[in-house]
Amino acid sequence: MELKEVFEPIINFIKGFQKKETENSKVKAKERLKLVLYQDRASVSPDYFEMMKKELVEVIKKYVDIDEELMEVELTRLFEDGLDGPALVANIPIKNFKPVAKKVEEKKDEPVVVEEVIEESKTEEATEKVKTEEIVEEKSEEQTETAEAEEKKEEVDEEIKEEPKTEEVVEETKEEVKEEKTEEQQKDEEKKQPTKKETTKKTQSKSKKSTKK
Amino acid sequence: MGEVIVITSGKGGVGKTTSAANLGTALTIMGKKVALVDTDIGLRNLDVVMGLENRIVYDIVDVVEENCKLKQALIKDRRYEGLFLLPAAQTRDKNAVNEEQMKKICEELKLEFDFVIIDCPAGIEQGFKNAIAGADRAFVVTTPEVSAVRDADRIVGLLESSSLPKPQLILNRIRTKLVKKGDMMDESDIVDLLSIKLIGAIPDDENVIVQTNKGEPSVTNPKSLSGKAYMETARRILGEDIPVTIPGKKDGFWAKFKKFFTITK
Repeated sequence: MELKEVFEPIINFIKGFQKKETENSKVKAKERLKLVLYQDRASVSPDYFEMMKKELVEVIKKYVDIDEELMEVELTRLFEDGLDGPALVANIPIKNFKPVAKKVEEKKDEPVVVEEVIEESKTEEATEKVKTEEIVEEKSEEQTETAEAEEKKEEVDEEIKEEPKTEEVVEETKEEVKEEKTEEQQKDEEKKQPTKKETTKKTQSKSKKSTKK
Repeated sequence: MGEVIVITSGKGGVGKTTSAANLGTALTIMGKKVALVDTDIGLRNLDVVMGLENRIVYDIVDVVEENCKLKQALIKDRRYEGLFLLPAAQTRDKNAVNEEQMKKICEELKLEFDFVIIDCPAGIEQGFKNAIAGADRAFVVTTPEVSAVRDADRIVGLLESSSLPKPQLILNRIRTKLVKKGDMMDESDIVDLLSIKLIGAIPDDENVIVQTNKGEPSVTNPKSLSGKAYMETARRILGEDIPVTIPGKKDGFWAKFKKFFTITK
């Protein structure tokens, strides 16, 4: 025991003159294999990886509205910032930031609020869908006009035309500078409206609770 | 009731057939009754490695298709008492046999023999599935090269999800000089990577080529380093607890120096 303690530092000192471990090809082979085996093992049990991915999505979904179809989660090697090893790299496109989580945290007592917010996000999604449809139909105009596409176009056109009409009315009656303001005001009003509704509903729910109590 | 051992690897050319022939012969030398089964249908080789290629009459497909009885297809090795070979068919493909039929053959052979050693084809397709179907124990053969180790890991994964959850490792073709220089992974590296138990470490040995040219397994040559390693492996199969060492591996000066002081503690 004592002998070993005496000689170990000497051995280590002499070993310092020998070929460094990192220069050996064996070390490289082992490092490379380690990563390859990580990847292979992940693909050997795709269920396991999918399970993790699903759970990851569920957690992120609570806070952000994400595009699940375009989401990528990969096991790769990372070289950045002095890191050199296997890493889980996720690429998650965001559709919308949800104010859900904050509100839930603020008012955990009121489950009614959560429902309201979900409804809002649904309407947002609906408007987005309409926009995408527009784009698709524009393209179809350029290419070939089928009867179905025309029908849809008419429907959407009607919807779009309704909105500018009101704007035109505003333009006629008021000056250019004021127009902007009014538009802004309109937008503000639109934003305020749902919040007003919320507050009213909240008060309702509160009153309900108070009555229950 | 005997034990069925499948020898597999994933990658081709790492020494499955050589290992099967040597371990089979080693176990016979130790007094056991052994049946070697070649399941590499279409690319049979165990017969030439054993030097029994001229004595084939019936093969495994004949047994499955009931053209003959199992006992008729078994070739008796005249050099070693208790060693038999069930050859694969050369003119058919891997789909000529299915997993159920393979299980049946294994069950039948287990009644007669102490050990049934199955030489598995390379790959992870039907041939592999057939070979492992009736096995009780699996050995994965690999060499210390990245490609072979990778394939071995794949096989270990497949075995673990099958009915053979604890495969053991045979590390073949170790070049002790390269290992010493740090240019080849050694047994501890491979065990670390694959995280399965090592049952045999076989040094790279020119004698294997010379012996195979003559149709004799290298365990029959007492001077052969690989033969010694296979004999030790066979003893471990029988349950002896011997540490895995590589015959012919000489410790360097520092290793000897260190060993001396670790013993003194």
